Amino acid sequence: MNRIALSHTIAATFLLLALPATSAHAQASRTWVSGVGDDVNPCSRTAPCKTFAGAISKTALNGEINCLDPGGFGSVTIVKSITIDCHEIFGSVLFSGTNGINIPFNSFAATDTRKTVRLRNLNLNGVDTGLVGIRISGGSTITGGVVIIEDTLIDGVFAGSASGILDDRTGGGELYVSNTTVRNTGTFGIAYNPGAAGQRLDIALDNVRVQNSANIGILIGNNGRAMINRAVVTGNAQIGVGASGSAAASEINLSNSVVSNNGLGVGNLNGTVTVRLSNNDISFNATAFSGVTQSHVNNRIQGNSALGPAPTPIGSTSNPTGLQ
Amino acid sequence: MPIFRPRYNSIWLGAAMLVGTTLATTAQYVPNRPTDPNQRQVVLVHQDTSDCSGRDVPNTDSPSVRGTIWATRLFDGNTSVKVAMTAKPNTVYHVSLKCVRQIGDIKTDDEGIGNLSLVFPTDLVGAEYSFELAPDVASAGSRYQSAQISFK
Repeated sequence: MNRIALSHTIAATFLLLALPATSAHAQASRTWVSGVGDDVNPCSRTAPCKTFAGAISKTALNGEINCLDPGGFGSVTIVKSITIDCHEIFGSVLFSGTNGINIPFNSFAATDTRKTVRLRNLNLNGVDTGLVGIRISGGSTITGGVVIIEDTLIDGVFAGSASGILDDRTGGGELYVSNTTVRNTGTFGIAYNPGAAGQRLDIALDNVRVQNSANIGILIGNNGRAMINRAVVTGNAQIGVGASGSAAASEINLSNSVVSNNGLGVGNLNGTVTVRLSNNDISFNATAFSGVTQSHVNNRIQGNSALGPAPTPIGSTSNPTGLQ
Repeated sequence: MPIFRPRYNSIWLGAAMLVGTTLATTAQYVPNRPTDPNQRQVVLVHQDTSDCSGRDVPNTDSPSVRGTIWATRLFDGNTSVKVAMTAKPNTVYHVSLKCVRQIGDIKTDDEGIGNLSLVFPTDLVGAEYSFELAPDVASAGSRYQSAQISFK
């Protein structure tokens, strides 16, 4: 009996040792989802999965999930560096009463050195009851994560903290959003709103359209440094572009953009905030500005019901516009 | 005397955590949103058990959140409930007032989206209650609990 028990123990030990190696090898660098796939499949091109959540566990670190044909691929929580790209294929995520895509950086492995999530060519629809389209959180244990969002549409998000893109991590890092539309949201369109000072987050928003949020179109909070270029921020009920620096300084450079038809166009909301404006159209807002803002004296500010405090020209007498 | 030192330390630690929490809360920009005093909104979390009033279910955003429930007290003595969830596709979930009784069903579509609106008599529950959603065959990992709805 003892000999049998010993042999079972040895066999079980070998099995346990072999299992992690087997599952690691089972992950592919590229996996596929399809509208007619099945999550029991290996997510290969010939046997695709049905959902992003089903594919992600079969995708290797720094790998990529692609879309084989149009479909709704479901909400997903991402806990490793990965790319999801549905280029030229309609890749949709419906999310009702919940978040579309969660990126909790605290759940990333310490060995994940890139800490980079790339989302491309996605269509996220909260069907009027979604919480947050893309929710980026954590950062207290895993710092310096990078999120890149390109060519994406987020719409119909009206529950709870209802935002298109909401980033509240405190571990700093980078957030890049380009060629993206965020519209019809209950609170924020695109927001970096950490609960504490945290570490610096570098933000670049390029060619984004933020429309019809019930509160603030673009919010940059504590220790955020945002370069916003070629944005159209319009129809946001309370504020178009706002910066808050109650716990740590925040800065926005807003250039080549349209801020129109909002309650307040551009707001220095509280704390230590710097807002620099260059070559923007700021029009048809109920009030154009609140708080101190700075201008390169090349903005077109017209048609607002009220101006608010006029922006302060940047530069000196010898270089009055601050342009270089 | 050294016996009391850990106690003081824990008091200071608690005070520091409280201050930290307060600072963290106030540091976030809080949007100015109109609220309906007769409406409560709570999250629906993917977990199998909770107490009857949902006190042990955190009403905070997390990857475990699978839905949202709105409860609105109406003036006619009823409470209107709206449930929005994203769960297992093509599944019927029985919606229950936790520890009271089942009040309806919600069926998810082939993308896992489910929405339901219903009304129940307000006096069926007290001022604090919660919801549970479970499929016909409720195996481990298949139930959803709401955070507490409190009208106190």
